[in-house]
Amino acid sequence: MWYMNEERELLRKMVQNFTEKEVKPFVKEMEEHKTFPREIVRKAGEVGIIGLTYPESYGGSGEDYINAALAIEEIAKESNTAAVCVLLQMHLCVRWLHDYGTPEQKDKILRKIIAGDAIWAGALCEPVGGGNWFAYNTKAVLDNDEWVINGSKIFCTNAGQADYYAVLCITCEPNPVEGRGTTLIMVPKDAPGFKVGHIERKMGWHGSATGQIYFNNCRVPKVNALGPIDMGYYACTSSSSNGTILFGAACLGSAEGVYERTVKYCKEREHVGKSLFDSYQVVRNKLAEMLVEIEAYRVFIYGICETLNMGMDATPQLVAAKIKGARLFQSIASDAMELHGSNGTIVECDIERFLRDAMMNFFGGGIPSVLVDNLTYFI
Amino acid sequence: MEKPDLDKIIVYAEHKKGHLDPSCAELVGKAKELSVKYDDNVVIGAVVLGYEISEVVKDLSQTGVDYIWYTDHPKLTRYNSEYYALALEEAVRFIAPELILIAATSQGSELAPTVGARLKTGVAAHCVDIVADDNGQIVNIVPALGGKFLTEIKIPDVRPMISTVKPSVFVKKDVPANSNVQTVRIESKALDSYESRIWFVAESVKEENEKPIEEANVILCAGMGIVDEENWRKLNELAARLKCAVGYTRPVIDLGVVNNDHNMIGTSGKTIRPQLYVGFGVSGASHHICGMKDSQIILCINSDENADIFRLSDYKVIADCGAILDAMLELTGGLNG
Amino acid sequence: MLNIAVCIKAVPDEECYNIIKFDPVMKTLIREGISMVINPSDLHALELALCLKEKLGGEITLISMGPMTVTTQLRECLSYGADEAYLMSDCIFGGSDTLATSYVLSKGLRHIGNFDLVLAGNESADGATSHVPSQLGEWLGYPHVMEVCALNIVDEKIAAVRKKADNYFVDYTVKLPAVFAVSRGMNKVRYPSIRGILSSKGKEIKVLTAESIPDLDISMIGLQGSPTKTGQLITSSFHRDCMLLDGSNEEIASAILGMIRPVIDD
Repeated sequence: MWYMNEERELLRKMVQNFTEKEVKPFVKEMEEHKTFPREIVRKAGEVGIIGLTYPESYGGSGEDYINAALAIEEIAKESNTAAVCVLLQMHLCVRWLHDYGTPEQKDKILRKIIAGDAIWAGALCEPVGGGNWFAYNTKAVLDNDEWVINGSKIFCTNAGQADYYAVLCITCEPNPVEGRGTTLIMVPKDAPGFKVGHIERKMGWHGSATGQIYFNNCRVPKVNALGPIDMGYYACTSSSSNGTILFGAACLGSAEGVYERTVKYCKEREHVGKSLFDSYQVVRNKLAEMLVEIEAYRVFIYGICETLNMGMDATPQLVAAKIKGARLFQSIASDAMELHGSNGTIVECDIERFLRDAMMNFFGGGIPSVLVDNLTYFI
Repeated sequence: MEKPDLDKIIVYAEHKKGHLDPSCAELVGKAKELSVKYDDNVVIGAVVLGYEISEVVKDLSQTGVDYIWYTDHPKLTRYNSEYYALALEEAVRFIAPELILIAATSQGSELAPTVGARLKTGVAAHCVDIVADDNGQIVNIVPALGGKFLTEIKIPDVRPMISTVKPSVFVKKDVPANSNVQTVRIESKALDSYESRIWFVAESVKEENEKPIEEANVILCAGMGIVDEENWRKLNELAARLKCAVGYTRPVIDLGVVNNDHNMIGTSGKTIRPQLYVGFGVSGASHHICGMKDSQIILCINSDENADIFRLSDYKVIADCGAILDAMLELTGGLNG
Repeated sequence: MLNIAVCIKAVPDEECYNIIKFDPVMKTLIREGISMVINPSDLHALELALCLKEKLGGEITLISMGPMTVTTQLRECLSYGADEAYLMSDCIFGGSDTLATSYVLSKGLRHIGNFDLVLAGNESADGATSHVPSQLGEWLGYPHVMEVCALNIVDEKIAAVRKKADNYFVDYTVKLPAVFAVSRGMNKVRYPSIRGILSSKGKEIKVLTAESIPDLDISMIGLQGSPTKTGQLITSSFHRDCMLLDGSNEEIASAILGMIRPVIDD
């Protein structure tokens, strides 16, 4: 592939080895006990995977999206959940801190996140208000040098696992037209009045913690405000969304993981003296069709990465990659189920896990139908 | 074609705490076997190094060798690679044998290449057999690619040839003692004047399993299929109850459940030939096979019915080894003892 | 500040051993499709070098002898954090046995500079003779210790090492410079860091040919410098007829115990 070179091959190999030794043995634990892969994230920081999307000044290795996508793709071949848990530290909500944090905040927290020593969570969603952030109820008011926060958040990723939560709070009378009314406030996990509530039992992404968090007169220092006061909406939406490509890389990697497992199965599974692969044209064709989708998507993903590396905007492509990724992964996983027959439904076979994780990609980081709607702005 | 000369074969006789290493008899047996090919006109000698070793020399005279050369020197009180290599080199230059057999013990594995380099000669490592071909040429059969293949090594032009052999690879033969053993003491001038750059500090005896695994009758061997610490603990418990030895393959070391590789079985570890080998989750990688293939009975438990190890097993059990371990513990005093 | 040399060998990937085929006519290996990797033991030697460098400062120089393709493995070693790499590559080095190989390496090391420590893996995964470390020590005139499982630098002149002997450990102090063969049990090999990987790009792998080393004695290298001659390969077959033990776990366990008990040691 055009984007590969000697260093990237070494990087890919290192992450492959990392995945084999650190991720693979932990999959069962995540699936059965829903354990958050804290050690995987820590070690990913240690070897520099998280730093792949951050500047060297905070312990990263420069922002090379091809390198970052390669690493996530490799991890996702074994576990989409682990890949997502790692990539959530690599961009996305952490980008708010990167783009709007003060040098002190970044020195204290971003450095730790990049090293894998701290976990970050973004907390936006609330039970009431849906996608309209200005209708949320979590409020923060200044009391001398402290913010006092009251309210709750739902679907908070990394709830109960994060060391810091970036919480979107209403801090003045909302004015959606001006984008005024909300502030991002960083709440450390041990802040008085902060409480983690119910952790959801989800269809997939077992191991990634999604849950409710509560603020009952929760107090944090005034300096914990992240970005412009009353302009939190602006900080969130104007932060770079380049990291979205990593969801695409995770979908690509997992689709490949599913494909490779399916090829192996079809070649080994015997049917009347011959393998499934040798017995049926339809099996061979289906595998070939899977390959068509995967390879086309690979070129798409890395093409966007290259565009981002050149410093160019690729917002519509990022949205498209996010949509296409979830669809690709889901369709490959469901074709794989079909080829595996009943075996595919068995837990040990991995395929059902990938299919469940594939479905999660339709929701985490943006629902395709909403994203499609976003894409219409570019038409 | 005239046969190349083979007048003298010497065996490096290793000893510890006043006892000859069992490998010594194995090597003498092989030397005798080779000498038959040369119409028995071969002197079989032994070289022994140490300090105050008259007892060892006496024991050595019972092994069937014709000659014993020994260097008795205070600097040889305990093994030091520099002093020992110096003394062995000196002895070899003095004796001028055609072939030197050295056991590939920890000591021998250091001495053979060292002396080989000093004499600018070839060393065939870890021979599984040493034979004479039709031309009277010594042919060493050694494992290649981690035991996946075997290959022949010849040393046609340089003398002496050196061959190393892992303990237990050759079966000990009963060689009648030569009633007329010649014993020659070598006075080492070189040792007097040489000061080693390696200083002995301490020696720590390994605590568990005092008996070397090579001498065990039954060996329970853990492979990667043992999977976790829990099963590893169970296997050791079972071995303790049954008084069997425990060995393991290299991947088990990588799992991190054992803290040393003393009892690793395979090309770069121990060679065993017990009466019964029981493999738990052993897959049958070639480097492991190389170290256990000569076991009398091989029984293996593996959940993968296509495991390579079954091809050289006498008995196979297709099952999860954790479950079999549980059942065996249950029958030997209960799961929790 | 320590000057450390680490010897690296590229070997066929053990994962590929089961697909390595033997050409019965040519009596050679069919190497097609067999990927080469860094000899696993050598990584433990490199890990030791990296730990020493972190603790005491210094430079790590890699040296390997082999075809030009070994630059791939050397580049990978650089990504772990080694500073320099030399590849001794020349067709006349081909066919060298351990004596000739260690001679070439010793000449290379002498040519590159002075080292306090020369480290190597205790054995290579393919040949597994474990000869090169000792023989390299001999050519260099340095003391050498095999199967080192712990090492500390006492002062600039002395290292304290623990050697794994058959069933026990021996502690030595050794005068530097010296050659140590590192046993796999010594340490856990780190992952190369991404920074290391990305910065390995700028590092040059220097190639030494026979001509680069003026005092190289050509009669000591390659096939003619190798006293051992390798013959043909023999496929080893240890096939046995296998009987399946079947039944419940209890029945199987009892059958196995029935075989163990009569032969257990006293």
